[in-house]
Amino acid sequence: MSAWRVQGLSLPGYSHMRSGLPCQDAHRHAILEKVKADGPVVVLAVADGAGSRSRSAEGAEMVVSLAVAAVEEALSEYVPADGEAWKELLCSSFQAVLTRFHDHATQLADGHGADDFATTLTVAVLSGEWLGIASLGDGFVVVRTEEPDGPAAAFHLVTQPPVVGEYSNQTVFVTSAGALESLYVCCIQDACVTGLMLSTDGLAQPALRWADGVPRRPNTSFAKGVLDFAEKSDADPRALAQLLLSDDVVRRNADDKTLLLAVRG
Amino acid sequence: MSYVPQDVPYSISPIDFSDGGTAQRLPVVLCLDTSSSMQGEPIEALNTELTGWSRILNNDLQLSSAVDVALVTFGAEGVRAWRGQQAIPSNSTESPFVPGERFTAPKLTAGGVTPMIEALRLAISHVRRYKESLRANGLQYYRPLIFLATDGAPTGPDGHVTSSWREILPELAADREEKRYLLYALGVGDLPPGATEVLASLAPGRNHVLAGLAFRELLQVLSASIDMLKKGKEEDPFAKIFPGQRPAGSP
Repeated sequence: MSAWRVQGLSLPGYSHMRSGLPCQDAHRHAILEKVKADGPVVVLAVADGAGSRSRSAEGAEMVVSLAVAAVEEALSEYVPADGEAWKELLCSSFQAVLTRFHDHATQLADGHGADDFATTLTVAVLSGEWLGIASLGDGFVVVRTEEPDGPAAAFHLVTQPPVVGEYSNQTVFVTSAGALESLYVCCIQDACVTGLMLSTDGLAQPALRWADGVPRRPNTSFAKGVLDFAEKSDADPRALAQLLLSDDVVRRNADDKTLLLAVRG
Repeated sequence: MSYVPQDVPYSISPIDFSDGGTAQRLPVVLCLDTSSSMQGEPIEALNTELTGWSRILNNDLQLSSAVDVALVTFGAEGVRAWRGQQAIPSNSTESPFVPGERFTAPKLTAGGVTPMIEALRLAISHVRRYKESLRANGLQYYRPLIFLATDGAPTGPDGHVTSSWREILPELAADREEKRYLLYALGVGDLPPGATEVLASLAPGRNHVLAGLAFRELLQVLSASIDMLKKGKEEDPFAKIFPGQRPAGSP
């Protein structure tokens, strides 16, 4: 199997640009060559800082770097060989992230609560045939699978069920009380995974297909467009930025946008 | 509609957005006083500001694709709902909500008494029905906003100030408790005695007297509300724009 290539960007949304707010989304990744796996392990993380919180941009940056570091640390001890072990690794890594996040944020908050740093966190790990995903909040992942000599690529949506309520725009943050109880974890063993798209909720409307007010499946043309693009060796990253800032995208969601793409090859 | 990149050499293949999610709706009702005290300069100013506001709204990519606007007036012709420029006959069940990108302001005229409470009741019933239709269509929405703007105090059919407005207070309190909508009560210009008490009672902590017909502030309240309501904010946008206000029931 060929190695993974990763490309990502986070851009301030139209509403943030207009009101002079910084981009409160963040992404980070690492390609781990030294862990004892069947090849390099890829760790990907995206985060969406809470719009109402004064230091959530810092929170998002902090949480993605803590997440990548925590998974790397866990993998340096052992690389899971089955789904149960992957699940445990992801859960214990999130636990470590939440503890460290709380400590750092409390220290930085200087008397204010860690809540000022509130952010979501979605993490994916690719190792050999394994794909592990763990998420707190409304980030989502689209998985591309391709069978060798098989039919066209298939795209699958991995997302946390939405919070139920009349104004269903609530989400869970890493700083929320009892956050770990809402942790969504999923492990897949499939040698046919050839592409991954991580995103925050800023792309939920343009990049997913909706019915009855909830996202049901990926917008195949979106995932295919950006993943095929990421495979081109001469891909100009400005094209992704242009897409995220296009009227078609902004009209559907004016929030900050993040795309983190991993492709084989 | 598809996205076709233009400026970069190699690019992303066209994307079909047709089944994408619709931006979450934010219903907004402007409930405006058009009674006889608004005659002359005030109604001219209101019309000018309302037209300017509708143009800003039309051209704002974010607001225009999320906000649905309805208009209710009280004064000339009694209580009236407007679907953009078109007045809705009182016996019609037509919805007054228009997507922000298509909202155009009617030319309002001033006259008559101030049936403020009847107008508020009509605004509330339109909000309730609109939420039902959004739910039936599987659309998500933010907490609706009702903006009440007046230069007077509620009157009965004879034009005399009445205290019957107090009858609506328990209903408004229950709606606040249930978070059915956010009601802002804004006074404009020189208010008659007792009018500020009415505004304060109708919308505790969410009332303010503005100098002149300050529709710009009104739009700021709206923009701030969208940003904050988006993620289920516990903060109140009104308090941020008019510091010192403390909504009833807030910490």
